[in-house]
Amino acid sequence: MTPAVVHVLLALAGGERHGYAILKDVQLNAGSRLRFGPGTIYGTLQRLMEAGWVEEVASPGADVDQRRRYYRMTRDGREALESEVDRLGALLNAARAHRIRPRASRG
Amino acid sequence: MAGEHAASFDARLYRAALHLCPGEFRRDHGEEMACDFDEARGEVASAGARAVWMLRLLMGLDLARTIVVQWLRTGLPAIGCVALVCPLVVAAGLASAVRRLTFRLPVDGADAESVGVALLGVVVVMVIVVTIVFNLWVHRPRRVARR
Repeated sequence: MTPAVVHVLLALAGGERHGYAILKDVQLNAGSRLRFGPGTIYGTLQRLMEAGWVEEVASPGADVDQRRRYYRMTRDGREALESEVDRLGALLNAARAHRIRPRASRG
Repeated sequence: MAGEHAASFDARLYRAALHLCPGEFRRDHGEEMACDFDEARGEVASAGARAVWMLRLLMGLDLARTIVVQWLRTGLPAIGCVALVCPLVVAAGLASAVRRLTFRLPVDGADAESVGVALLGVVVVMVIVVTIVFNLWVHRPRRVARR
């Protein structure tokens, strides 16, 4: 899984969102280390929809911007994200076993 | 007033650049991307010229990358390369093999023209066949994302 896929799925774990809300979530979580723009987000969403991990849903109300399309994660997407989180967790444990700590945790 | 004018120009420029994306991607997400750009542009408008230029740079790089990636995903550049390179390589190989043959064809002027037309026909047929085969191969059903 690429970082963009993980971040988009994580953003959708909180519920259905439109593209710009996903972009803002991703920018918030990724910080300045990864720079994503709309093209990256929609390219990733397209791939995820083709894979069946994300689907488009109807707009939540009539008062929302009709140009916006809303997306949500499918059950397959959640399972894929969970297995990726497991993999990352195991990787983190292996790193800790070798006394390799994240830079952010150093004093 | 000048800020609004610049924002409007940026938005028009971004929408024009979106036309460089493949048609299918543009139809699916072009309007959303333009909408996102407008919103992001509006958010940084009051943050100063540096923030505006940073946004322009990031959005420009993102769009350039998207154009390349989406065109590669259509497979058309690969189809074009293969359709061009394969017949040329085959034709060069055949020409090299024929040049090494020891017998000589008793061709007069009219026969030479016929042979030329036949060779041209073979190359055209090869281009068409390679394009069809490669097109079918590139657009075969597949899962894009990996677990």
